Amino acid sequence: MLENNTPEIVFDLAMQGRFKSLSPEQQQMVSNYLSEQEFDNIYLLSSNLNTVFVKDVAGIKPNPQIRAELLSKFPAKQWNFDILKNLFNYKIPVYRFALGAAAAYVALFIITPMFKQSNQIEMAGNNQTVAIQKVESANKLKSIDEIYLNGGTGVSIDESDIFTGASLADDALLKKVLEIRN
Amino acid sequence: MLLGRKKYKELSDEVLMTYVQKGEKQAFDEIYNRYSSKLLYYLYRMLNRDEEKAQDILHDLFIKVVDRPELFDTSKKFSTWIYTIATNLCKNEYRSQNVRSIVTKVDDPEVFGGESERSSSSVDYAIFMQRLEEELSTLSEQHREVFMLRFQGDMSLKEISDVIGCPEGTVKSRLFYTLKKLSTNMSEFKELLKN
Repeated sequence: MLENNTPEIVFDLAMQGRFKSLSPEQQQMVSNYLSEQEFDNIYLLSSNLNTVFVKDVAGIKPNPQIRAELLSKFPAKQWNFDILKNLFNYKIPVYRFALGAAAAYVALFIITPMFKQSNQIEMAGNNQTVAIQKVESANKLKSIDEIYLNGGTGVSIDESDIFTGASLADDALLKKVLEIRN
Repeated sequence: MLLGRKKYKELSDEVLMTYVQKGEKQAFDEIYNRYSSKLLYYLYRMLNRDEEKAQDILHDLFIKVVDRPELFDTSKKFSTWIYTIATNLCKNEYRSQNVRSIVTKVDDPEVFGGESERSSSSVDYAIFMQRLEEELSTLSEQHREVFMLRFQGDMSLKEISDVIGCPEGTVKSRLFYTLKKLSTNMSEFKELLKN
């Protein structure tokens, strides 16, 4: 009586060789199910099919457009995305950010006083200089001039001086200003 | 990391897929070169020699690889994965077009042995292939599937059982009945096969 798994057993045997290569027990079992000829035909067919298909595959080729389309899709999908992703997702560790901020803060406090100091030195060098702020209207010569001397208070100048076009830096005018102040 | 084409040729399918998952075009190209012809042929046979449909499904199949390469588990065998997708696409096609209407079931042992009055006059390769095509088109979807995976896809029984989701015993049984039918119906080619 044949067992339920006989086809599986016969298949295993047929993959190994011809009927004559089987043991007497195996031959006996196969004979209950197949003739020797049938068994050998299965063996011959199965052992040749791989070669047959390898030859036949060559007869049909994939459409070249498929490959071209797939490859053209590939970089757009992957590479550009990666580049953008790297660009926008660039992450700085917190400690680096903190160090950078601290360095900028320190630099600000070092550089700012240096600028102030250089301005003060420049102002000290021009101690005797008279600075004038002169606001003029095009048609009306109603100007207000303020003179600052060595941190002194503003002093008014006669309008006549203004109309003459004299410069307040002139020595004569400077003397006049000092006289008024004293 | 970009490798030369020669390097890619030396890599396994599974390693290549790790590069494909990282977006490497050349790795995908190598996978495509390895599998496109075999898969097209498999689809062609599974779809009753409809080459246009086979080309369409091949395209859809590799689009899936490009779009979702991360779905492949690189610890598994690539050929099993890709043939599983191909087989499922064929099944979808069967469902949508009722291709199975032309198929004869071969599970029933009574099917065998009835059509052996074949002419053995012209025994050559072309005729053999033509006859094989005819015989394959009469197989059920399940039998043709295991037959093609085994002999055209060159897969082991274990791989086939993974692809179709059946025990190995079922795979062996289907292969046995298919081979028995083919060898009986094509017995006139025995001499050709001996050579």
